Amino acid sequence: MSCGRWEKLIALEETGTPELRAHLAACLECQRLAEEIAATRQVLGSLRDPAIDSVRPLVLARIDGMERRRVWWPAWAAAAAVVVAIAFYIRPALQVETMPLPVMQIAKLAPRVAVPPATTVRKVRKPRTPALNRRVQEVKIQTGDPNVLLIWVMD
Amino acid sequence: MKSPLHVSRAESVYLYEVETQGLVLTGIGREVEQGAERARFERLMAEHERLVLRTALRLLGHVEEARDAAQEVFLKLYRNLGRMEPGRDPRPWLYRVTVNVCHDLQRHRGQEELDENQAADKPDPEAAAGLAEQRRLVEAGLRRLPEKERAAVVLRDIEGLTTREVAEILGSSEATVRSQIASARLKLRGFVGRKSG
Repeated sequence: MSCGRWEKLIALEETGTPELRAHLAACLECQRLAEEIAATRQVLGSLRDPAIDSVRPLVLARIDGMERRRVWWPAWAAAAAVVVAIAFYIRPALQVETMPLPVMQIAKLAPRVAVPPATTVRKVRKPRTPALNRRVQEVKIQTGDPNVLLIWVMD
Repeated sequence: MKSPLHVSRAESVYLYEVETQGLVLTGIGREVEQGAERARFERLMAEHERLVLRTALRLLGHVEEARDAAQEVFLKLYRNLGRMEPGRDPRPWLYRVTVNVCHDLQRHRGQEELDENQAADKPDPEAAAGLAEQRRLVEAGLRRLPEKERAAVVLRDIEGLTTREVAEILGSSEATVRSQIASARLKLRGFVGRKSG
């Protein structure tokens, strides 16, 4: 069998078959190939510990920047959502069960709404389960952040 | 005072009142514990940063590009952390994303950068003829490999993954990965042999 046929197995260091072992015992060229492949693998293994500086400070700084931006724009989006929710509430003919606005619309709406500086937000209480006989209208708006969902409940 | 829109990721739900210009609007907000998620992310980054940096460096061949790639990988990890099962080994995901990010970066590389790399391959007459020179030649040889062969041999021979694990990360069959690894090793051996004289 010619050496070419054994080349791949030698490169993969799969030299366990009796036939290949016999060939290796007789072929100096393939012996040399096997040794050089082993040496190359040894050098590759020594490349496991390169000198390279940590990127942790950079990553954390970028995340902090992302989080700061994330706190601000949802407030504008919320104000826009409030305006939209009120508009639907006062339109008598319109029955809206859910209003999933596309994410991009929220981003577009947000900059046009001026939130007065006097706006205050208070956390009131944990939600109570709505009474079964009460008609509750719920508006859900998924923001650009998959973890932030705005749910406005109107009696 | 707490905004209902401050961070995200938990299951506590509160009623909020928003008062503006004499109008009071009530809504329900979902609030999240960010502290725990952030701690988990920082722990994962500390544990696996070397893995990502090392793999990116061997795939790209440039220290600064590898650092850029590593930053992108960890930002992706941060964005996807909520979807990852706690306790699950993140390494396959990290390897996969590192390979993909490096692939994207390599697509933007121009021919000028490749020529620069080739110039750096010239043997250094001052370098000791030993492991240091062998490492330099193998690193140069790695840069010359086709992208897929380079990824396969980096994951197999530098990162020490099994052929099966490499196949899963690269989205290929084991047979394909074996061929890529064999081809890569033969080319590296040939390159080092020629440069060593």
